[in-house]
Amino acid sequence: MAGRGGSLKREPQVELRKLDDDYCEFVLKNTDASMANALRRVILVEVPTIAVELVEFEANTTVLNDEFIAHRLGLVPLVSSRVHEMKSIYEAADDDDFLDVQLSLDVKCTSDDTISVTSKDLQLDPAYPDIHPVGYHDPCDRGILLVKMRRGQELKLRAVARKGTAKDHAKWMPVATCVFQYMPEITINHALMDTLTDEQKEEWCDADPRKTFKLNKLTHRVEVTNPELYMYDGEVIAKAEEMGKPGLVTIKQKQDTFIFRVEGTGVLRLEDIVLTACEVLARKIRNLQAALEEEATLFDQGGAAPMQM
Amino acid sequence: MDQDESAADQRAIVLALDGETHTLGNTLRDVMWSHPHIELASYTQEHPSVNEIILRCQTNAAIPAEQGVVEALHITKAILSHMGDTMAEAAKRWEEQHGGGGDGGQRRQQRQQRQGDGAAAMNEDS
Repeated sequence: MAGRGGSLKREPQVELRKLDDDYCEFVLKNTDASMANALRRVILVEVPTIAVELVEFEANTTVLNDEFIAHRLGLVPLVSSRVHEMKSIYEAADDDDFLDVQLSLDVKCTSDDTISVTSKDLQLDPAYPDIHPVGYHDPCDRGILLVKMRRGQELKLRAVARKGTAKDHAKWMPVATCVFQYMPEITINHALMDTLTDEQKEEWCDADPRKTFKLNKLTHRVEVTNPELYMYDGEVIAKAEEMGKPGLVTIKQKQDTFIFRVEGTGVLRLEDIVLTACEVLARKIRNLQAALEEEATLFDQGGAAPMQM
Repeated sequence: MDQDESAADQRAIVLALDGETHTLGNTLRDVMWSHPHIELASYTQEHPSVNEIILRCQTNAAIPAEQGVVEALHITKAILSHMGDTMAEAAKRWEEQHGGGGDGGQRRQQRQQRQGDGAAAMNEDS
């Protein structure tokens, strides 16, 4: 009983449809769902970024307590283009390794109006001025609101930002969301379709909430406006059966083509996120290979090597 | 353990991978199934609180199970490096077609910069 053998697609293709600063859409072809899902999972939780982790308060007379403000500081997205130079606290580090970024905040309200303390009030680390909150230098961006203060209230703190992954805490997630869908393959049975009147055809097209189908008034044929609009809700299938014409349309999912939609938060460039994700996955495989080799040598030496790594 | 194990014993292997999740487990399992000499492949996470997966592989008599896993790893790495390369190439081609991108996320700032420089209109796709 052999495996499927040789049916695994070995050469995935990528077709970039859109690449903005905060949105990326690409089509991954010629690969399996497990690979696409692995990519999605890694993009979500295993791409490292920088976020505030430790906060030391010197003065806090605001209405929010220390841990509340510390939690909010942790969630502020920091531009992490230099994260590859950093080491996380779980990695072996020498004394001169780049681990921490020191940020500070010192605001006292002296006016009668309520002031808003935002992420733009954070003072950057002079050694690493390019590690700043997203939108820090953008005059149109009002900054992320941390706390509001009235006259006499003060907030003075020091924050340490570190490298981490979303596996530990969601503040380190590099994307707002990362989704993929199968590319639909829609085949309309035109012979069966022609037994319907134009009104019935329109009625059938309207059954789809996403308007994937449309009646072409000139040719009196039902056409697919855009197959990717279809959300696999099965409404048109149910409608066809209701009208007494099952099999009017067959919708399958192309099992080897995936449309990825990644929304960034400004923390990393989107192409960097996807490339880092592939690299992280490759590193896992390399580690596993090394561990297996090590196990093999131990085993050959006749030691009672446990199977665990 | 006995050094001269019969070939039958080497047909199966059980590995416990610490720190791994469905991300790697499902991918490896899928790749292993496509291997012509691997009869059975499975992975399981015994409990979500324990950050470990158990990977099992059983081969037909052609190769030992450990070699099956090693070969599956090679195939997976090849697929991933191909994916990374095509992605990098696609990104590079995009940059060439649509002008230099900026650093992460400051879209409005970039639009201002671009307008400020009076640069030629970028060919944006949408």
